[in-house]
Amino acid sequence: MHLLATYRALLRAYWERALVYRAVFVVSVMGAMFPLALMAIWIGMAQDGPIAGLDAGNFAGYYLAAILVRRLTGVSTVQEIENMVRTGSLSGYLLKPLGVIHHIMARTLMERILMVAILLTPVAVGVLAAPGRQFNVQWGNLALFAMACAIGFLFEFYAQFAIGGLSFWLVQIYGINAVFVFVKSFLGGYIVPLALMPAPLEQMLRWLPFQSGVALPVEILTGLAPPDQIIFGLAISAVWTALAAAFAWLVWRQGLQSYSAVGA
Amino acid sequence: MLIRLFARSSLLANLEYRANFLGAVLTSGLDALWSVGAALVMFSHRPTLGGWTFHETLVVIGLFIAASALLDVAFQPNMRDVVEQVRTGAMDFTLLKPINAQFHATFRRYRLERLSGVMVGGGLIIYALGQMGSSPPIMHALAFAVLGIAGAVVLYAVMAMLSAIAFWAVDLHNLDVVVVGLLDMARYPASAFPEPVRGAIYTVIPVALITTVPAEALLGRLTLPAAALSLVIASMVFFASIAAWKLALRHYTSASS
Repeated sequence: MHLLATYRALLRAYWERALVYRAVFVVSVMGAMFPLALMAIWIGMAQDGPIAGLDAGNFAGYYLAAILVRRLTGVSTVQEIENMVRTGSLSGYLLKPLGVIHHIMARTLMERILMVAILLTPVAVGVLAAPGRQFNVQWGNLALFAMACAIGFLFEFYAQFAIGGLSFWLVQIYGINAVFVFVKSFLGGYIVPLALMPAPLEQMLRWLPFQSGVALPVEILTGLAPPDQIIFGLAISAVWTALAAAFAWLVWRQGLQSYSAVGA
Repeated sequence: MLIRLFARSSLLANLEYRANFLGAVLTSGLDALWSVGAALVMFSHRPTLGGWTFHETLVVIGLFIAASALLDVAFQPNMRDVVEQVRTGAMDFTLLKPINAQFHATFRRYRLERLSGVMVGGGLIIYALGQMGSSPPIMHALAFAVLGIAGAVVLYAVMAMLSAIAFWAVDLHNLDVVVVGLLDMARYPASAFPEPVRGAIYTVIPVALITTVPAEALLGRLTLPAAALSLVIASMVFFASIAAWKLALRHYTSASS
């Protein structure tokens, strides 16, 4: 009970912090529009007939969903963590009753509520303007979508936390993070829908964790994925998320030991 | 002259962080990798993209990589400084200097390590030309050089106009996200976009002038009137940026007075 109250206060503090920086968030909405360029190109190509079964309306639905989902599941905390470890500001957090992971988690969660609130209207307008029904908004499907988003978010959160934790030993973790971001964007359906990739590559990607951030939630929301693929995707993503969490825990346990050993 | 001085002081500052150079090469390499990768997926479903073959498209991608590197080398760091200086009032010192304020504020600082992106982009263009098996005639190369410079001017002008916004809206430290977002429309040939987007990226937000037009010049697909029109639009955008800065400076009230 006491812990719950503490967490509520933490969430409220970070929500108010997010509100203070709202101008910055409006600008970062511009950055969120990144998939629109690729959407326009695929729509242009689909003028001569569907591509791998997807028509112009499907591409609009896919990339609009990707804009929304990226803001729900995408986490980018490596820079902040690296900064904490390098400057030693981490020490201040170590004295607080809740671990540093909870502070980062609370901030990340609250920022995303504000971002999605800003984005929801333009995406909804776009989807309604697109030809055909592009989103499957039945309650059962929305529940599956929420579950996929939660798993995708947790995978990225723990992966980022683990990569950030590597800065206990390594100086240049930005390179590692750049490669991670590239792989998860390109092989995770944010740049190109997995269904358009060569079949053997797509088969392999269905076994990997990168689909959990964008491809899987988007395919559920747009109704592009058959039920058995959804079940398999959720299961494999959950397994990868558990592995990422275990790895992050290991990295931070070892890292904090060597950190305090330096006497920072 | 002044630019050489500014570049030298930036280089000296950068040499302290040599490891950044490897990171910069990695950034350009990954950017090229996914642009080419997405193009490969597109061409696996269609033989051409808006009338461009795969290797012709590579020329546009190469120019895009070079342009976004140029943005990082010269434009983006200065834009961040302008926003920061308006917020803190340090812009006063820039205004006191006996040179043009827009020139000083937008050409002061360079991240030279990102020049590696110009090399990656150039390498991609040379590879594409080699695969097509024809070296362009001297006239095309000349037109490419002129229109390439015009493209860089457009990029500069868009950036300068956006940083002028900082004089009204304080603390937009991520304003460069907007430029990066706009430039993203230049990653592939402009004719790959359906109307009305295609018309808009030639005129309203002329990002097509940054990559598609120079690529057309190099491949000999550009007509003379189209080339002339591009130069007119580029100079119009440039003068608009000067007007925007004059307006912004008149609006600026320093932090101390």
